[in-house]
Amino acid sequence: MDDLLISAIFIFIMRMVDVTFATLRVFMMVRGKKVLAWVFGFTQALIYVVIISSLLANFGDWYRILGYALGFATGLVIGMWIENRLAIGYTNLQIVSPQRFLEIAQTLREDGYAVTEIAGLGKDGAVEIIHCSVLRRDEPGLYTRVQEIDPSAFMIAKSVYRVQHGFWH
Amino acid sequence: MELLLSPQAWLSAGLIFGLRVTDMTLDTLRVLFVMRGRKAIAWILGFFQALVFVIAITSVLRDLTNPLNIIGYAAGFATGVVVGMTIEGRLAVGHVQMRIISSRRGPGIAEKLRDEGYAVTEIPARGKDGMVTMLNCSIQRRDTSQVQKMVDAVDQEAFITTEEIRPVRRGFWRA
Repeated sequence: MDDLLISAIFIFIMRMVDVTFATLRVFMMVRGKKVLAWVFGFTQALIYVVIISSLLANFGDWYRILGYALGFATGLVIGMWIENRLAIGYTNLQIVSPQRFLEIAQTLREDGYAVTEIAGLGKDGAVEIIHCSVLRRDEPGLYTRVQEIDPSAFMIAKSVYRVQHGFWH
Repeated sequence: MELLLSPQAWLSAGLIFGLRVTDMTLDTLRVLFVMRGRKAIAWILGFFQALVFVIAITSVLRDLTNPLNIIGYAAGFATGVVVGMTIEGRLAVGHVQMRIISSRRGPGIAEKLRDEGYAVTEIPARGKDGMVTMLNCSIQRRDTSQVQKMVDAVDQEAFITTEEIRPVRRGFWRA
């Protein structure tokens, strides 16, 4: 019984590590990072063979099947969390604030971000669309900054996969 | 040691490597197609990927005493990912939107791209040091590098971002 539990925990942990790498690998694939995709893929597959053989060698007890499934699900979440922490890449933010757009543009420039303003027309008159391309890791800071000035500002963020030149915070 | 010299061991490891390269190439293509919403292609790729995977995993599990099999399996997996990415990059399915910001040469870039047959939308905008031009240009993904070179030829300093767009309705596309 104890052996079974230890083996189930072993499968859980290994599966968790394996799927963490798998998740990171998919993110690297999407961003076109070939070397990292290879390294993560190799590690992932190596661990996977160990787990699956250990699981199938004595298939049928629920502890280990459960460990396998829990490890899979947990690994996904950990992988997503790590990827979010790494925050590789760039984001293009578009900010619409009918009242405070001038102040937002000015503040962001003072903070050192590159901002481009475009004239637009909203329901209640002239507005500006503020475009700002930032490193993904600066995105949360920028949100807070805009929120401080105008809590009701409308913002969308788009992932930009290829960037050339430019002026970065 | 004996094992490492036996041709059978290398042969089976090589076979597993080959199978895994094939199945992960298909799998990588499948993931990248799923992200672009191509259902039919994703189904076909998924079917063949699963088929090859079952063959590869059973070959490894049949003989775990051969570490070469395991290494072949993992190396094949990793290599397949990279091969899939390379193929997908070559196919370059889909459309992208390039956003070009140029402080001085905006109209020049627009003219050049239009001469080459691309559809360009010019938007007047304001930057830190006054008026700039923002150009929106939606193109087929495979034309990305070419358009980038054209922009560079006119303005080395132009700021370019590229993002994937989908789906696309109508519009004017360069033949």
